[in-house]
Amino acid sequence: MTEEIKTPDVEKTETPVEDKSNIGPSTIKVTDAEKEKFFKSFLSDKPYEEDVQLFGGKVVATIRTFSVAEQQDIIGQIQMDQDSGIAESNDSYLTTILSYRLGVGLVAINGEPFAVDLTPDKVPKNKEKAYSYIRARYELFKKWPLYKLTSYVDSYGAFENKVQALTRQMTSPDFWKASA
Amino acid sequence: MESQRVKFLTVGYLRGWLDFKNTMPLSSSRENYIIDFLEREACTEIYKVQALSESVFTNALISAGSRNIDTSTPMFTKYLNFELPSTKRNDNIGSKGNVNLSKAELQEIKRFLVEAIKKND
Repeated sequence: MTEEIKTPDVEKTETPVEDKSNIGPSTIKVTDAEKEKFFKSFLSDKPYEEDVQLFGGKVVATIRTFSVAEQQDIIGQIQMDQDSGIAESNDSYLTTILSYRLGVGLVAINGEPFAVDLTPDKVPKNKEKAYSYIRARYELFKKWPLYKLTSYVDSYGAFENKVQALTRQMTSPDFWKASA
Repeated sequence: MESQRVKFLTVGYLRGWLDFKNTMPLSSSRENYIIDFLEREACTEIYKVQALSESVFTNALISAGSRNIDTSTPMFTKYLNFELPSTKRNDNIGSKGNVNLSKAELQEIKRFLVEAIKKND
């Protein structure tokens, strides 16, 4: 399923450029507007955020990249799952990991903030129960229909691939057009 | 004397551009980008001095006549060969002259130019 990814804050007027350095089954197209938005987040040391349209534009999900602390929290949750046996007894644990990542990266759905109460401060880590705010956010997804969760997870994967492409391109001297 | 990188890290920190918290995965890349930016800024300042020096000495050459001026004198080379220590290997910031001219140096340049012009006359 091909999702159209839009950036509402920056006007798209340029022709998308393919990231030919991408290693994978498909090439990733990024616009100059997306480059500029990514560079702003890089320079301000803030997460990169995008609005992604799902289900033919009926749903707009706001997703973002992680901080170093959040990445460590996800790894910490996986470690707790392994220690408690959750990971070993769950055949679809890869989906669980992807859902953990989505839970942290999902900012809002149609402008409605997602799981604002489930933060590291409000949900203390419990090693015995293998529970943290990462797991608490994941629990919310369990109520979702599978097709809905799959669509969100796929979109977040595409977003992460685009961030990787943007990161690669930013280190290139051709990142900016000379005539810009 | 601190390294050029440490110097620019200090400038970046004092300007509030760097906090060394490294909260994002690309924070260290950002730090390198800002250091590069500060180096380019320092180079620009050096080029300004070079351009000014070239202008002054070129005018002196035209006024005095090239036969009367030895362009290989240390005074010429000192101000025309400014560059960042980091652009030269095995060099450090202390080995280069200060960009800001002292009163004595300014007097020396003035005396040199006056004498050169007198010789030409």
